[in-house]
Amino acid sequence: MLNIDHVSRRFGAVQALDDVTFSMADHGMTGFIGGNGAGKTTTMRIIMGIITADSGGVRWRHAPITPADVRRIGYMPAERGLYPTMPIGKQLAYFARIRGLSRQDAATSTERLLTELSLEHRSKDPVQNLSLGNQQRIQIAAALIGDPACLILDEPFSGLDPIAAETVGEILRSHSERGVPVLFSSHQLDLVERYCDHLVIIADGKIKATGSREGLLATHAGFSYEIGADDLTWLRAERGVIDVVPHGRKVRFTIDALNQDTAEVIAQEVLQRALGHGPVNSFQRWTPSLAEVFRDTIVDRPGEPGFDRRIRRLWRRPGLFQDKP
Amino acid sequence: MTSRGRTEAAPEKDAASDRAETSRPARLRTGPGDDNATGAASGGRKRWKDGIVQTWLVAGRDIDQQLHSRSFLITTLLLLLATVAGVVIAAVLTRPATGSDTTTVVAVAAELPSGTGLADDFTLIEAASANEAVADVRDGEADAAVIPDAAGGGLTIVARTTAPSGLVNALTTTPTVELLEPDTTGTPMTAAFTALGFGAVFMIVIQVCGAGVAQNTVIEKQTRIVEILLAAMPARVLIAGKILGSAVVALLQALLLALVLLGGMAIAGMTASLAAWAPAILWFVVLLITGFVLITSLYAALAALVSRVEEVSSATTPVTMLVMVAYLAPYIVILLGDEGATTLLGYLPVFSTIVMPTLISSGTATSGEAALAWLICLVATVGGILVAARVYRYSLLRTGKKVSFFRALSGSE
Repeated sequence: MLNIDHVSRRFGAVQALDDVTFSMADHGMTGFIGGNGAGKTTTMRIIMGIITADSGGVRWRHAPITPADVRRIGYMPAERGLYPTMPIGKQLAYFARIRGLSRQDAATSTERLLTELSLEHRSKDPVQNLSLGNQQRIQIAAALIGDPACLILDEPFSGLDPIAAETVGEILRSHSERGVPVLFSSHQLDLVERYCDHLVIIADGKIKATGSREGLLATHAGFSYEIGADDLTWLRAERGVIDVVPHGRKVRFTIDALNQDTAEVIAQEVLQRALGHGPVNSFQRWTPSLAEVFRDTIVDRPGEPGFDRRIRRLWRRPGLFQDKP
Repeated sequence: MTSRGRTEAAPEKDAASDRAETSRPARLRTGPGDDNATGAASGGRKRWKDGIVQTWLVAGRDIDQQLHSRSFLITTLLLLLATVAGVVIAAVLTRPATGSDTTTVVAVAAELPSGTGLADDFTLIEAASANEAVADVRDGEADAAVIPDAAGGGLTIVARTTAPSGLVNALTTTPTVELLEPDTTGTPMTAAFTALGFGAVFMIVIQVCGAGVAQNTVIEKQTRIVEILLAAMPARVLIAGKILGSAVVALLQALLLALVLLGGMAIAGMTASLAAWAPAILWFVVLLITGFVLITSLYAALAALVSRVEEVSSATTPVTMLVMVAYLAPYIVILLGDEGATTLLGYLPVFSTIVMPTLISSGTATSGEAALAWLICLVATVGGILVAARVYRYSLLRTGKKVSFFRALSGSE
């Protein structure tokens, strides 16, 4: 169990992390998402003890984390590489040994891992002689070496083609299924949605949301519906309908209701009205994608600075409400 | 949703910053159930043990890489060939001096003690008197005159510029040497070339081993391997390992060269030269390693400031310049015969690596003076390591724009 407690960190004038608090689940894969400069890498570096927090701390199994604990964590930095001319077997054994394994254990672990990745016959080859896909496997292997108790991976999918990303994803999933919790950051929200069980969303150094993937998606579904029809100009004026947003060839709207049942009743009324205006191509309850949840989470909320500006911008969007000048 | 763990976390609020202040391994504990009371004592020992093991692991990896690098092997081989060639050339050139038949000796035969047997080994000219023998030497008809002392027993050799060493060795009693025209220009010349020779070895060893550290540092930074390393060990262990590794390789290279040089001289029968050179060469190896560590620390620190391999050479230019100046300045200063400047350089760290052994070889400096020069160099080296470790630590994680040396030194963000 890894807890990040009220961690703040400033770089010069930039507040990189502001009271960051979350805990990493004991099982499964936790996706850590946020834009560039949101603080993902800084958080991971603080967990790994590479940089220090100005305040706050990290706990591992309920006690302040120690360098010995950190060595039990497999880590993969962003924009990574390996020693280009060093044979991969030697390289993996080296990473195992600096994390405290004996020579014998390092050799055993290296051999097992290479076999697992079907690279045992390449052990003496330098990294630069491997194909790009195999280089990625070795990269992951450098974090997996020595049976880590936990994995912290900074952008493990960045720069990978879909097939390589799937390879990496499956390797990580197989480790997480064996009981090794994984925390990984990514920009590729589709991959996060596919592989993560839990989510931590960060923006501007602040944690915006944490929880299980299903929980977060359900929370953000709200009472929103999507309708596809030729003429929807009347929708804006409909009673109980708010936040009308075009979404591709459809229009998404939210119903101003206190509970799901009421919302459902109003939705049916809206559908009837739509049918009165002409044929309706589609009508369904809207479930957000992770990308939408993310966008929704990181932008400001009502009552917070900037919210009003965002709403006004939406209202001004051309073609949205043709019945108004 | 965002405040998970907030309520229970208060006591640990400063855990991470505390961990930073005391440097990471200070809080080392083996596990969550570890007893604090015993942990403090055994933690200190374990921290040192871990640090030493990791330093050796880093050093071992760098040594392994260096010994497998083709450029290193080729340069070492070329250096060895150059050394062997140097010994052979020196042996051929010095042969006339140690030989017997070409040295012409003039003496008043009747006055020589019996049993000196000069005529067997040298071309002996008979002179009428001691004065006439000296005149023959001055005129160039003979290389040296052998004149018995008036008091009897001892002998004096009179020569123009240098006493033929073969003659000095051939006499059973150690003779007094009198020079008619003591050489004042030849010795600086020899010393200057000695300095150039030491300087060349110094420069090559530093270029091959020391610059490798700079290269490696940036590769680790560029590939972010440094983050994996820093997650496992403090920055000072990392830099210590890198310096140790390169110093071991440099020492191996220097000792190999010294061994070939001294062994070659022994085989070539240059025993007189061997005796004169051995202390100079041994001091050179000692000073070379110390100066090397200083230069290498600076290389590592400057290289850590940049993020790409392409930028290494421009970032390390100041050190490269220092090495070039240290290589050429002794040669020029000795050639000009500026004693004050030579003495100064003899004690100046890095420069002393070249100047002091040269002075030892020409008999101008004693071992005591060399030891002092070494101590000064050692102090500078310790200072250099401390500065380098600090700069290294603060610049390793800063990628992109080049980090300012002084900002890194002051540790500012």
